[in-house]
Amino acid sequence: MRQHVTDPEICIGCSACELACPLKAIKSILGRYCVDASICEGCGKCIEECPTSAADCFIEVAEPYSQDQQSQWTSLPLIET
Amino acid sequence: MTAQSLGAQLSAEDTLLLEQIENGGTISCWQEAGGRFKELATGILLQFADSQMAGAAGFAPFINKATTIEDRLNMSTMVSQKLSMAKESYEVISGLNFNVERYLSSHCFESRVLRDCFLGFSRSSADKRLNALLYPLEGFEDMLVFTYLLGVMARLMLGEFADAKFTPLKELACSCLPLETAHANFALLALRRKAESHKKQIELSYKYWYPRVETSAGPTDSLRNHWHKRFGLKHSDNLEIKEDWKKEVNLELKKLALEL
Repeated sequence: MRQHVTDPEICIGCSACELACPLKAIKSILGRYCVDASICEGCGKCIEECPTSAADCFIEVAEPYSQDQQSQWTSLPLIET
Repeated sequence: MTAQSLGAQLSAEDTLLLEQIENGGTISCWQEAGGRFKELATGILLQFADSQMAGAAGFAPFINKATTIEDRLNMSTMVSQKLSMAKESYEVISGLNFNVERYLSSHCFESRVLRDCFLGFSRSSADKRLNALLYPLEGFEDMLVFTYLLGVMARLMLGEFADAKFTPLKELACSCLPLETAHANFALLALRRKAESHKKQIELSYKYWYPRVETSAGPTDSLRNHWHKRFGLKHSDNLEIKEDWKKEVNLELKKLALEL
């Protein structure tokens, strides 16, 4: 499945995505903006508001990463093929 | 930026920044900034950097299309200076844990829309360049008209940022202002030389580029503009910048005896 996340390497931690999300699917954990895959409907509002395109990020996963897991990232996880 | 996100409560850092600015203070580094300020300042810096990258990508093929060696040198200098300005601007943002290489690797600054498109203020690119830099150039004279029109706009905007209360933005603008001014002057001088021999082409290009570059001033009554002013990143309304731009380019291009 395709999971919407934010790219930790270009996210500047401004919270624009969190404020833009109409479903409150994004929250800050340890300063990282993490997307709840069970809530996000992919409306793209966060992508429009993100000043660095960090929210314009999707990865292919077998199981979605939890917000707690995303909060530990310093870069995007390597995609296993 | 939506009314919803702008209406949301400001962080303690942002509130403190607003007080500082209202009391005539300046912001010297990112460490003093809150989320709203970071978003607004980064938006300006990235728009500038990405526009320079897209400009350099668009101008590079025209180096070999110039008829004189002087113009080839001018074009190559312009491309090189655009990349330098982009580098300088990305370096300011890199102070926010922003990985420039990662960002550059995921964006294509050569991409353009079809020539006949008119985007207005709608976004059509993953990077943050000005919409004017999404349209393709069509010939050397067309490139000159575009460079002049956008160069004047860039100079006016950098003039705004040169008075910003955010020191890194102010320093960047002061260092880039003479370069952007030189690019606009280079294009205007070349247009003066070609005004008679390429009159029709220049008139057509002017009609094409004028409305497309005009949008670079930003929409009138913009919420973002309101917050840029509150945070001391700009001092003028978008409308004032647009009017100043219109006045200057119309005055200069009318001297070329064009039918505009």
